[in-house]
Amino acid sequence: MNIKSLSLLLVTLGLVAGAAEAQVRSGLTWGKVGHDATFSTDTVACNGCNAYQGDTSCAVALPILCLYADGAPNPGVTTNFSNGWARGFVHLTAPIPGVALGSLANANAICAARFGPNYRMAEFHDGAGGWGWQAYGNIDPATRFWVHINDQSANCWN
Amino acid sequence: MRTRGFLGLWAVGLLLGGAPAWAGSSVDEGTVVLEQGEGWSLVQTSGYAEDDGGQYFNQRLYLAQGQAGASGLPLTGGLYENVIGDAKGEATTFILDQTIVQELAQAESQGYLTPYLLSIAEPEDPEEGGWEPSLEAADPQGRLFGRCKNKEVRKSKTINLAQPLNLWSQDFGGGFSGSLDLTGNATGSATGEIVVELKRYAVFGVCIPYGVKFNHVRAYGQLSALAGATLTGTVAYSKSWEWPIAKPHLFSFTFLIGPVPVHIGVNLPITAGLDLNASISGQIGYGSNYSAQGSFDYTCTFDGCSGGNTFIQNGGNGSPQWTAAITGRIQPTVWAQVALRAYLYGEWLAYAQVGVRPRLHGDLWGYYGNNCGDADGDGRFETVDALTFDLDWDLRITAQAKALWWDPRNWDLGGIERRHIGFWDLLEHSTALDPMLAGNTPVPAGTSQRYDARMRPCWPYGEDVTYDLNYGDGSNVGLAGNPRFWVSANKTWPAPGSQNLVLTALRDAHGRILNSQTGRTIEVTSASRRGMTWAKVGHDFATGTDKFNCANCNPYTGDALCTEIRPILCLRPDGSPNPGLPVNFYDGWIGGNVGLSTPVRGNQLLSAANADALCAADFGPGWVMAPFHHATGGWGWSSRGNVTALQSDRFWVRIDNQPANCWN
Repeated sequence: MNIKSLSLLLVTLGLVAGAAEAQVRSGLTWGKVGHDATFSTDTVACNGCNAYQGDTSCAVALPILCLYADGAPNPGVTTNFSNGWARGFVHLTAPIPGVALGSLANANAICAARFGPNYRMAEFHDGAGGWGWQAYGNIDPATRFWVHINDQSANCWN
Repeated sequence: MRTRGFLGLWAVGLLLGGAPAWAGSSVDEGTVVLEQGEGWSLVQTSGYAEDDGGQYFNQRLYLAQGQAGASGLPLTGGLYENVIGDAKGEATTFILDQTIVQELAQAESQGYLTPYLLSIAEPEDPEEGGWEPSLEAADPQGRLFGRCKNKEVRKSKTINLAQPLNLWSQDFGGGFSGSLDLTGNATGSATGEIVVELKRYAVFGVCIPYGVKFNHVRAYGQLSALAGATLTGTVAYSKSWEWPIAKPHLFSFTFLIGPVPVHIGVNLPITAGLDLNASISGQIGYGSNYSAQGSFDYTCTFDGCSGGNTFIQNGGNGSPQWTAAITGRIQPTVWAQVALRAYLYGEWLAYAQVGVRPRLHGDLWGYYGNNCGDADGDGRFETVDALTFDLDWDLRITAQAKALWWDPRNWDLGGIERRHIGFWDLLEHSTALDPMLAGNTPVPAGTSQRYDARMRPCWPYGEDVTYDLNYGDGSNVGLAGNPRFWVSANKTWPAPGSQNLVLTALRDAHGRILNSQTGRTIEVTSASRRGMTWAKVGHDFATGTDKFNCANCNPYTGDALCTEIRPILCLRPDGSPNPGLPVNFYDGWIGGNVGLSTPVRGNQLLSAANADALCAADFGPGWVMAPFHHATGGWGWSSRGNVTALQSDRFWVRIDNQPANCWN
């Protein structure tokens, strides 16, 4: 009743206050495009990203795409420059704010701590070309995730 | 949410000495201001002095305050030094007869006394004894101007009090719309005493009385006050109000000190006040009855008061019933004050007063929402509500003094410190009062377990809370601590089973009785229960596949203690075909991807569905806890993945047809 109305008002005020936070930079994110059930591989790609300035506020918490590139041969998936083969295995970490990534070394350490010493943060060009690639895995398709790029300033730590 | 209520309140006060500023030339009956400067005035006063058989007077008087006021008067050298030397502070108030001042100037100019001065002259003080020493211990004029000490005069009167306290006010403005209804009475007796000093000037071997200096006022007696108040309305923000209720005149009279007419009076100013402190807009309404009684004895100058009182509260009750709807806090303080005020000539010149001010401090707290903690440890914040009312009282002895050119000076002389009256839950049960109980479940028997208690974070008070934690097995433990921090107890369960714990918040150090409970069930498992674990036994580089198997596991009763913390082997089946690995009954193929969850204690795997949910939380929808069996057998299988586990690392795997899981 009245109490609930007041509570809603307070929640609304809280959201407005949150929107007023200081501006932060943006970081590069990718999304999952599909899963191949013949080879148990995922396709991940830019899919609307901004590879030059980043596309998502670094205040947002998203998973990191982690890759163990052990050199696994392509099991038979079709590849091209923008959809190559990353020769390994992918998983997603728990969501982490972009501002907490800190550096590539720190982001790599987060992947290694969660999945083992051979896992590191996935990179824009891991498929030999760029913009997208495939690897063994079946990650959650519902979320975008942090991917780093090694020749642009589109990372949260840049 | 509907409530409604009453709260009672009273206040009594006593004042002596001081005065409000005047405006216009006629400041009091029989007194007219003729001229004024900084710190002084010349008035014409006339009337009838009751003492000594009665006498009419009509004289011009200088009224001056402190050295600054005295230095503005047309005084000759010797008299000027006499007055200034006696103005020991800014507060000293003088009344000088203009005729005598003028004739003293004439006498000193001509070298002998005028006939009028001769008619009022008094002999000098004897060498020893004689005048009682003034309250002002050392009188400089005795040394500087001969033996003409100030002459102290006391006047007092005792009155019986029977004053009604009645106030009804509404439309306060300033953020509060509503009404305050205050009724009651104050009874008792009080004595007001005023002490002035006759000032005398030593000249030509005699003492000429020429004026009066205010010394002090004293008020003493006993009072009993009973009042009830009802406050209703809507408040938007914090503000204070003060209303004069009445100021009955008790007595006044005029007397002559030597040639100088002095008029004193005593009245009884009664005021009421409301202080509202609100964190959010809301409605308030409460009422109750209250009383206090005691005695007092205070002496005041314009620089302060001294004395004491023996007031006590007498009864006091409240059964507030409320109509309120708030989320936040509103803290209304209602007070009334009865004061005894003594004045010199009129309040415009000087007055002092001592007042007794009982206050009732209300505190209304309302809450509704789901941001006030997880009381039962189920991982979800409960939606809770609260509407409570807390009531305290205290009593202040106040003093106020005003002289001529000053704003009133106020003092708090102490009183009775704040005490608790009651705490009421205005809902059937305010769930926001339920305490929080933290601790793991399930837990193994035979190992010490910690349980933590505190109040929910929206609980607005800071006094330590006392808890009772009942373990449900016939034992319990008492806890106490700051409501914002956890307090802990340890318990070792002797045997497996379900235990129903109840944490009760009993009361807090302020006196609020809470008796609010939170219960939760703790599952105690066998300390020796084991669950099945597997290991990674190889990786095929060409096909990107990991191979897992039992590796000396026990698929019938489990092999690893459920108190151990290990990852779950998680699987996302997608039906992908075998890329060419050789398979048999003990080494099969499951099409899909594998990964290791974050490590979890075996006892926290409550069921197969619960374990699947943990995998899905880590990797996404469709991920499950990996099974012992594959499509054509069991004991081992391969799937796509490359988990970085050592050969010796083992992880939880489930089996569907044997009780070898930690939840079995």
